[in-house]
Amino acid sequence: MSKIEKEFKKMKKQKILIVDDSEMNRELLIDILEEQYDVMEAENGVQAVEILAKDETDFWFLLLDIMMPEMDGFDVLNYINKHYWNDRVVVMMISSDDSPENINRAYSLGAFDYISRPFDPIIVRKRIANTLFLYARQHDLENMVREQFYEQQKNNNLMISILSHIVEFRNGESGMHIQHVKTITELLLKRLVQITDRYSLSEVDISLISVASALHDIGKISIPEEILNKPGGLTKEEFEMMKTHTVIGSKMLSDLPVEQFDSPIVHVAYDICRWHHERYDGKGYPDGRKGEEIPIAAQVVALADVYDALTSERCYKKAFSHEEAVRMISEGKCGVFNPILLQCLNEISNTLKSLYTNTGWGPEIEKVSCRKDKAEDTTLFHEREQNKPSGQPGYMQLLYVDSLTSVYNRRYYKEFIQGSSDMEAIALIDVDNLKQINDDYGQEAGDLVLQRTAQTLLSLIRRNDHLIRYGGDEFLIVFSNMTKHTFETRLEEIRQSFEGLIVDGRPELHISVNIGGVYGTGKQGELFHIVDTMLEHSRSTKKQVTICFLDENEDVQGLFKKKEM
Amino acid sequence: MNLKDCYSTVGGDFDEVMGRLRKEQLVTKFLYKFLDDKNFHLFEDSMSNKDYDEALRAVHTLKGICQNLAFTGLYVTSSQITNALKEKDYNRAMDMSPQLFKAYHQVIHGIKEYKNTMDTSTTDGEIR
Repeated sequence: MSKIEKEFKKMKKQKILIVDDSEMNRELLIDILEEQYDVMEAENGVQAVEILAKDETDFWFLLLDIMMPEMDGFDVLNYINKHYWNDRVVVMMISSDDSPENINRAYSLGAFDYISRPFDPIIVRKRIANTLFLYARQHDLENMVREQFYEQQKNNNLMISILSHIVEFRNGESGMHIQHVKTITELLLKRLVQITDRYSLSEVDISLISVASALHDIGKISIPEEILNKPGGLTKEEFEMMKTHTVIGSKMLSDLPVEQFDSPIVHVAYDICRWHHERYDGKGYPDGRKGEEIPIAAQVVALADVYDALTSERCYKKAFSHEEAVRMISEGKCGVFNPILLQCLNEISNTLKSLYTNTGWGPEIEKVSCRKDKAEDTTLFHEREQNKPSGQPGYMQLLYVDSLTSVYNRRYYKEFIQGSSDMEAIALIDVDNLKQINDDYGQEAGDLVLQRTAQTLLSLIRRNDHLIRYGGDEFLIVFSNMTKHTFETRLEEIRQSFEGLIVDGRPELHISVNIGGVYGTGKQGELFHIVDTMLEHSRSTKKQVTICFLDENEDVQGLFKKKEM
Repeated sequence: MNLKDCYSTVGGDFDEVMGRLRKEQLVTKFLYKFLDDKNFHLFEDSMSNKDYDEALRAVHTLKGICQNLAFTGLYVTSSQITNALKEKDYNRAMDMSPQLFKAYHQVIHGIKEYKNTMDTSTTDGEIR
């Protein structure tokens, strides 16, 4: 069976909505269609759009009468257009009259076809089946093209990202610089086309420039590592050497065989590599181009590059806050930029700021990235992603990982998490009967219980969450970006998963945990105090998760709404 | 009285409707439903209330039903009144109303008579 046929088969139980104010007419159509289709009816336009609005992903075939009370057929067509439902709603008009104006008007509003009264069942069925078949085929073709396009795009992006990471790794920059520049470039460009049409940039152009932005520093591959990674200032000669990365990068691209250099992305990348250190006042390098002589792609990437460099820690500088960075750029302390781009930067400032704080794209994280222990530091980054810090032991490993349970230790929490401003969902968990177990079965059994507890908790958190052995029998989980509801359910799941849990080879050991949680924003110290109180409460109630939800309007000191499960 | 007789009593086109719907059973089902259709009464009430928009919708719908059931006589009259109302010629619509009344009741009468024969014949002929 071909793909098209499969699609068609799937669509056979197609939903059809009959919209007609006459019950008899609807029933006649239902009689004609119900064997083959899933038929629903509406007696006017209002009911029809209500049904269509229920699920914005459903594909509907509409048989639509024109003259109806409340909302007529034309109104329904207008509504469909207004809500951009055209690609999921196919409309066939029911035309009772021989009035061509009405039919024409319906066509111009997007109706696909019409059937006229009196209904001939054979013709009605055939018309509908043909229309659906046509749609299925078109849909299938569109998907094929889209898949091919994405596949190609994915490969391109992958190759570019590999290439640029090689350069980045040598630069000793944090792993995210390329990604950040790409994101900022895209945001700036999208804003730019909203403000002006001076640069006539299409969506495709924006996507090309964003992807090509990853290559801006490829020329650095030829700069000696001692210069690249030299802390503090460079000598004049060294700086001259550094500057050549622009020309070298662009030459690497223009040396490509003609047919490759002719591809739009290579052209754009050439512009970016060569001119991303030019200044709008003509005092940049390598060519001293001025104003609009600098291609817009290079102008935008230059700004994105500077913003990200400022807000990240580098071996030669500390990280600035988002506000400081924007201020320094606006005041011309980090180069001279096109005023309209500065306007864009200011206008996307809130978005940037939230990216900067919410995704951990801030200095708290970058702080780890100190050049001198690059290898270990990448391991740590990698492990943060994986959540479980294992792998080759380095001194980072020894410093930040609890040796018994292999989860993060308190030091890690203090140094990398405690300072985050976006903490909002934390849970504190303790093993209820650890002392008893130690007393009854010995320390070794207690250790087993702690290890099993850590494993179980790890299996229940997501990649971006953090599990920390806070001390003794206490574990801390810091959840990132979690809804209230999920938080509640997750904690309950955690509690339940300890019920009936058996420690391998030691069936006599039963683990039971107490869980306290806090949800809301507040100062870290306060949050910790609250979660501790909640845990206390959980201890006294047994078999309950106790959560405190901080109400934004209330004083953090007063203990808000206490939620018990 | 069979379905064909019924159609000639109501002034309809039996061959046309059978040509399309093909089954007597289906045609009969919708004939009976027509007995309960409110559009004619809605038209009458709206005309006496001078609510011509509503009257237009009702008679227009009635016309559509007549087309589907091939009630030729009633279709012609409802079609004329629909046009009159569309052109906002309310007097002409009013003048034609008695004609519609007559045609409508002719259809209703015919269907009822047919229904009676069918009901009797089934009770007589079938063993339950």
